Amino acid sequence: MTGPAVVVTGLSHSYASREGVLHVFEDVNFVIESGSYVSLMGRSGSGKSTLLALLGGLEAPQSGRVTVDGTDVGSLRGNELADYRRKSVGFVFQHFGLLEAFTALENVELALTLSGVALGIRRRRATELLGDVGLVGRLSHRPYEMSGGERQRVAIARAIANEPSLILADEPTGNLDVEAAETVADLLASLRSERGCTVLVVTHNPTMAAHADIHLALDQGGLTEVEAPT
Amino acid sequence: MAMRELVRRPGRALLTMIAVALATAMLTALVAIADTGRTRVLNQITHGGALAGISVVAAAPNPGQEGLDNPTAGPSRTLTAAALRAMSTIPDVTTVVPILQAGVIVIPPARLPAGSSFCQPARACTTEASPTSPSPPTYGTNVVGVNLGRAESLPITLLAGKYPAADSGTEVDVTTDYLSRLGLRQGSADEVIGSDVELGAFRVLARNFRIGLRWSTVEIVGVVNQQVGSGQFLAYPGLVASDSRWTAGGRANGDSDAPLSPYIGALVEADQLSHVGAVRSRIAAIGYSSSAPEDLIVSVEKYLHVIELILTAIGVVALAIAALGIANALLAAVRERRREIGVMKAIGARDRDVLRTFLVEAGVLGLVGGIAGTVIGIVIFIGIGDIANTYLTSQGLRGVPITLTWNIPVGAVVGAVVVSVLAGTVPARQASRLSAREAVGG
Repeated sequence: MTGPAVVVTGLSHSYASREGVLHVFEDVNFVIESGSYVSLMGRSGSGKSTLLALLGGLEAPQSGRVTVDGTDVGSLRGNELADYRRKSVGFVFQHFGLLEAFTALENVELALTLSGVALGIRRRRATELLGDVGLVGRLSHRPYEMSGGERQRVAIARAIANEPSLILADEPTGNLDVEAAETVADLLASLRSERGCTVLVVTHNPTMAAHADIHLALDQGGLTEVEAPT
Repeated sequence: MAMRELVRRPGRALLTMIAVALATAMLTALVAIADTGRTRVLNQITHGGALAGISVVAAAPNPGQEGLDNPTAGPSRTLTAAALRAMSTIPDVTTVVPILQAGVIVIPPARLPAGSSFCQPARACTTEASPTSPSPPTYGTNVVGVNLGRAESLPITLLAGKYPAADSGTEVDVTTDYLSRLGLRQGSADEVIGSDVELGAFRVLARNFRIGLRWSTVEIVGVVNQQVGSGQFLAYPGLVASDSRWTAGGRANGDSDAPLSPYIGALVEADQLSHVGAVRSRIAAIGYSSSAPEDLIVSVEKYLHVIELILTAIGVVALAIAALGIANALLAAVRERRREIGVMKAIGARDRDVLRTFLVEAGVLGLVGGIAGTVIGIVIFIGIGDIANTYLTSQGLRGVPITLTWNIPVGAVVGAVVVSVLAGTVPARQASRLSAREAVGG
């Protein structure tokens, strides 16, 4: 797909707290071209996760506009929002976000089940995806039986199960050791190169950030493009 | 997914299911006991007969006493076969069972059972051809004839042995009065079964009023309590009709008391209790008096219904308490799984997907607990029945049939599932309304 994948205009967001209203960011504007790999950095509490949530439709913008592949995310409600999250976005969380009661295969299948894919097809597809991330021998293992890196790879397989155009990763290597982090970083990078996904990664990891074309930073409520971290 | 989550926390799931099981067990046992008690009480009122049964007597109806459960009968009136046929054509009548009766002379058996109070000492009744063998005197009674193939809907209770074979002319049952005649207690019923007794149908001979007797030997095959007619012997109509015809032959010899008809009454069964009144009116129109405990049954049924409702309510309260346990357990699960629910929504689950997951969890808890509880309840019901019957039998009373209608266990399981799903509604809705933002945190 060509053209901008993400267009954000005049985005502002705040939270109510005990100390009063907390302004997370104000009048943020940016464009991410389709097929880009973008890293987003900032201090703790700068609003990185919030921005990710707004792009992914996990939260509605209070003001401004968020457009992903031409869809005004802020105007979606109820089932439309669920459909958007299912088809257009793939999430990768710092905490992996796997269901402990399910095996690796079932965790990946869940995304396909929610899309109404038939049992035989979704099982085959989930197996393929786990094979793509190098976990063909872990299909029947539950999360507690896997290492952090393996869990994150299952999460990535799940995130791309419905072939979304946008991948949003929130500190995907935050709980991983160096070696696992590198594996995950390479895997996410391959999503852009092999599948043409647009990838937005919140990270403090230089290895992770090194794969990015564009580096954005949130600071004191504003978003700016910065140099690649060393 | 619901099953996986239950298996993942087996302790919590098991405790919740046990609560449901205990509540369902209580509900099942109480309802079954109430149902059996109802049957027993109504059975006592009808003396074992049908609820919609009507007793017809060979007498005219008494004006002014229509509608009473037990009216005083009017003047005697011969009950004919034609009248019985007319009764069978009354709308809403399912069966008409004629009752015959014939007077007989009874010669008790030569050798009395050893348990008889006539036997002093007991050895005197077991010695062959002993000149001092005691025996009760010859006496007169009636043989009552009725179609014993319909005994289950007649006011007849089998205490020991069996009913005579169909249309048998040589087998009879005896009542407990016969046992008393032989000096036996009710508990000694088995001692008369298999024994023979001489019955003599009598007739006035010629015009000098000498009495002729026609003897027959019959075998006692069972002991009963019966409210069908007044007599110590019970048999199929064929045997009684034969004796009755023999006796009736005396009318030609001047015996004005000889019966014109072998029928002393009939038992008419309506198709339902609400039609008993109308059927009785039609019987009165044919010209015969009848009685039926319809008002008493209706009143008793109302009280029994209230008792059933109270017992059911107790069981339902227990189930509601268990449902609170389910709600509590699921609310805890929702709190623990906030992030998981957020992730589900983040990957595209709709609110109703989350709602369905938790409702299914609640339903499974109710189903497993309900089935286990129903089984336990049935075991309790059978156990209590056995204890009750052991006591009743020890007191010389007839036991209570331990039967369970299918609707009780099915209703208990369905009720447990429904209540559990309802209990899970609040936590399920709470879970479905969680924001997908829970997945990200921060």
